[in-house]
Amino acid sequence: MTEKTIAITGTGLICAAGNNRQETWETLAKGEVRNHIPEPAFFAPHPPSPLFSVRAEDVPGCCDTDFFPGLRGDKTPPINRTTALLMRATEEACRQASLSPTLLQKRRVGVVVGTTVGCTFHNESYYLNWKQGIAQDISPVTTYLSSNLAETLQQLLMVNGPRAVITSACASGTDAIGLGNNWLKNGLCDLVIAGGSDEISRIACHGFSSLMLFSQSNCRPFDRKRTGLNLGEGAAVLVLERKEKATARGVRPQGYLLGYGTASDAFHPTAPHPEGRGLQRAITDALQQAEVSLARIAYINAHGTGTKANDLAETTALFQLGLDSSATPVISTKGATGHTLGAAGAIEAILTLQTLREGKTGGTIGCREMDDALPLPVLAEGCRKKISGTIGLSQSLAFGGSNSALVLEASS
Amino acid sequence: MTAVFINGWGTAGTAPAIPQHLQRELRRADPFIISSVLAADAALSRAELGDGDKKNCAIVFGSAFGPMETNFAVLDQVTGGEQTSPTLFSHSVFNGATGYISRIFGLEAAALTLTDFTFPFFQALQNALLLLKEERVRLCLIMQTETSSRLLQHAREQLAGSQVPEWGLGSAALLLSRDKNDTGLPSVNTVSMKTRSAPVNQHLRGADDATVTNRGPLQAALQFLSDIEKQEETTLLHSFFSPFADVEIETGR
Repeated sequence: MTEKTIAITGTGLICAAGNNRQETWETLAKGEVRNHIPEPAFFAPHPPSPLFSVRAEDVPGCCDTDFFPGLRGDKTPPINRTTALLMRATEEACRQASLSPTLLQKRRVGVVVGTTVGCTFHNESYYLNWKQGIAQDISPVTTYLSSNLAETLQQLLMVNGPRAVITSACASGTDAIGLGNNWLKNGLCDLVIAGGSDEISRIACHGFSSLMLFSQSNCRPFDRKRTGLNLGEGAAVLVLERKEKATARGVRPQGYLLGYGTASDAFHPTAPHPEGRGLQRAITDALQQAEVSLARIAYINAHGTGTKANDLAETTALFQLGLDSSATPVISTKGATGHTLGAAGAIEAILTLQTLREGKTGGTIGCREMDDALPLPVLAEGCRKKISGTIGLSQSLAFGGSNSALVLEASS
Repeated sequence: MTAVFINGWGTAGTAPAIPQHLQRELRRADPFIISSVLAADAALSRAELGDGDKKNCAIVFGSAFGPMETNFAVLDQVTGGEQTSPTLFSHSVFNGATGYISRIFGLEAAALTLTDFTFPFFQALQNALLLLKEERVRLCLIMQTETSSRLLQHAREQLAGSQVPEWGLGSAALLLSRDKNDTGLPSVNTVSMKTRSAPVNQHLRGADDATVTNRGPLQAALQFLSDIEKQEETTLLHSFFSPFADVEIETGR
């Protein structure tokens, strides 16, 4: 580690499991599952599936915070749910990093956010009226044009610097953190607000259902009886800056981003390569950048959606890379958060860091009987294990065959 | 920033004809994906890459509005109470085109998709230069595709108070390499982008100059590709402006 190592100085998180990082961690530690089955009309004609929604009272309104200077005055952009979730996570992360908006405005701030739903037009009532030729106000279109998360966050914080919204499906959050890493290493900015956000969308729900990827009961990652995933919503943000800058500010990092890798399966539009070819390459590249061997990884947060194909491909990839999972526990946290799509990679990066800092894990919520057909055992529900190191791996597999991995180290 | 070299470029227009060698692969694809694949094919064909090169070729794909009409086709099914088509849904996901390109051409390095209403091609280019500089990939395909959307067209006309020309479907692709080549195409030396705020409805504006072919959010990328093909100068600075950003790209010979 050098002074140029990328430090993680703040983290913020909101999802069904909790309103902030600590609450989410406590829910995971208790093994709680906070999901619900929506009304039948939401999924019809597809069968319903549990959803992991953020509680209504936890979704911030515009007036619930005075953190964002861009919310004042008459130029406030319209705020949709995905943006509101992102704002909550951003505020938590920036406060932890001792970064007020005034301090942010004195720096070149990069903003990079992953999403899948957040970039689409999904206002059903406007669309139906438009199709029928009913004259209407076009403010929903204006809201859509304000929906670019990175652009909107720049405006709300009134900061300048590079920006990007990554839409690489389920790997978007991980890629956002990786891109932020690249920006800092190349001097494009002084610090980065990186993360992901997605709200629950009917289109996504119907789409995943059509692909028969949903479970009609609670998802059971790596379980012998797993039948698919549950969708969720949430947001997570990490503040990244060079270690030397954090030290100069007097801020103690929560951890460090040591490496990032990404690669494509080049195999199938929606299914992963059976041996996780792209994931193997992404993990190898991330470890190489981190200058860390797989044997030094103390903990792995898997993508672990609970689908037959994903869980098999992922464990096969790790097996072929030579992982000893009796020494390095592999778990999935999606049994507690649901699959939050563009937010997943960022949520799981934070949970990886938290697990390393706490030095323990409680196993994979929903995995009661590990599938013997998987080539590599994972840590099942309720199997508490101490983590014997400070370096971990968080990995994501996406629609379209993209795979990404982060190597993270917790502060000692 | 270290210069990188242009190996190839390609575009696809409003009604692309699918060549024989891609017909099977694209038999179920929507216009957004077809246009993207054809532009990628043109860029990659110019470069004459071997299989080893392709395994180390990344993609950075940008789009302002994404596969919007495909998204609406799914919305038609959802609001109509119909079973959603799995093929249609997978094509409505923003990175569907990236996945197709990666699979059809065997590109196994990074496959990133990003969206911005402002110059997504140049944002993709800027991030591609960083990937190449890291030396973990040897080549990178930079792309942008936009489609015509009737809903957006209607909104544009409501804002303008009159009919405005449609932007149309199209794609732009640029292949960059860390290695010098014999194509005679320029190098890309630097990319800088400075953003600013403006009223969001300005994202629906067309070109101010009515003599410029109005391709909307794809216009700048197409102009850039046209300019680099004709470049004779040793160093050329390309400048693009919008209410939301200024972009400068230096290319050289």
